[in-house]
Amino acid sequence: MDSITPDQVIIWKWGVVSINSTICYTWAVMTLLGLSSWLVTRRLSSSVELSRWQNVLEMVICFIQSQIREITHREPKKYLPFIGSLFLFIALSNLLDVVPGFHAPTASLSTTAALAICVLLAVPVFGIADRGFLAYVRHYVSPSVFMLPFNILGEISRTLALAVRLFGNVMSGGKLAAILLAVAPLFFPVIMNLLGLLTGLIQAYIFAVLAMVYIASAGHGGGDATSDKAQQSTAKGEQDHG
Amino acid sequence: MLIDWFTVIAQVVNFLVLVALLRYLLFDRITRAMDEREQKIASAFQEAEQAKKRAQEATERYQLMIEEMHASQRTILAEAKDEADALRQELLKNARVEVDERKSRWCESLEREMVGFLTELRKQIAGAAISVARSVIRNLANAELEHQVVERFLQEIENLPEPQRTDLARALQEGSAKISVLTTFELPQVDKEAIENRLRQFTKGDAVIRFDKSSDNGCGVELRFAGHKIGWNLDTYLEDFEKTVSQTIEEFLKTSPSPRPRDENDASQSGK
Repeated sequence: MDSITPDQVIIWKWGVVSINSTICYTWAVMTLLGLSSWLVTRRLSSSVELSRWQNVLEMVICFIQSQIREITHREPKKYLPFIGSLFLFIALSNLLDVVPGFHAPTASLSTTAALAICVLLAVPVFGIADRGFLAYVRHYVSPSVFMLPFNILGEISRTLALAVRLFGNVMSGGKLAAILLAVAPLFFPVIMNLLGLLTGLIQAYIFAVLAMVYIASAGHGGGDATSDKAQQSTAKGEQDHG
Repeated sequence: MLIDWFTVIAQVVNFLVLVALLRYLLFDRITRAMDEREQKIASAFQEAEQAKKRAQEATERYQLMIEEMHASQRTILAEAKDEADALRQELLKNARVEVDERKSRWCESLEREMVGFLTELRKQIAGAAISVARSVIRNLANAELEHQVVERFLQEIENLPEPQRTDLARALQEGSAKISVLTTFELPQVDKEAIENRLRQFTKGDAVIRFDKSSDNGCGVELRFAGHKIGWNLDTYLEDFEKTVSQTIEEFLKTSPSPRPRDENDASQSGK
């Protein structure tokens, strides 16, 4: 059985710089995404006749855009690169987890923490871009200045929850598949791998939707209906996974 | 420790790089292509809508033209029918008139021909009858018949009416008057003397009485003097016979049905 996190698999180390398998598989996923994107988009067609891969990518992007539009009630163009990259990276990492020898980078708490930190940073960036600096900072002290520590704590805790949720689900899925492979090597691992594919997609969806909700709530002023819908979506995802 | 902070930092950097990479290679290009396609489809829809509108207008225009053409066609057909009816009536009328004229001409011609034929027939019958009678009289003529003729002539002179008797007497008395007796046959001397004696009973004049023979005179004796003509011959009877034949034929012409124009129905059928 592998270690609990791929961070511990050190491939190359020089001082504090250590290239572990998490980083390597991340680069692999990035290369795959970038290469496939380049291959598909180098001959893009704006007519009604388009290639099969372009059609697939357009479907995925349309899906992401529709989700962003539903949550934010705004044009998704500004949020699409960040949210789309989150979704595609997590989804591809989780899907590739079924490939023998591949360890999903999202099974590393460092990766999920890094993604959560990115979300944590993106929330004020988009919030300030939408509302302005003062208006954004003011929502930390609303409805009262005494709520400032709680708001900050809420920001941190939801970021931590984001990271741990993704890490826990992906790591547990992988470990469960490994355990079942040892116990019942013929039939159950296939089912668990299929379930892992579903779980990975749902987790990518949940992570992206939650990130969008946080960003949207910062942009809108927080506590609106979009948060409720996102919370419902998240609860539904949790039930599916559970 | 599950979190390797170097890895965290590296993953943050990796993710930011990925965002930039996908933004450049994927999202911008795909959304641009989708926007362009959307614009093309929108413009195509707009063009299609305009074309549809133009087609609709053209359809309405052509429909209007077709309806106008149908109306015009109906009007032209009605006018043509009226003209044809009028022309037909006129032609029918002309045909009837022409048929009536031709029939009238034909009837007149037929009537003329019939009259001519009957006239000729009358002449032929009368001529033939007279010729036959003459031939018969000539063939049967002899001295006894000639004497009977002379006797009949003398009775005629005896029974002359008074004006003619006076004229005859004056002519015989003057002497210079030309008195001639024309006969078809040669008179014997006895009959000549009988005639002279009878004439000289009217006056004592010594007028010269000349006896001539004429084949035009039929079978009889004729006395001519001072513009008067007294006589008796068979031509008188023959002329009476000819008159009788002519009157009979004319009465037949009057009573016989002359050719009449046919019925109007026959004329109209022939006109058609």
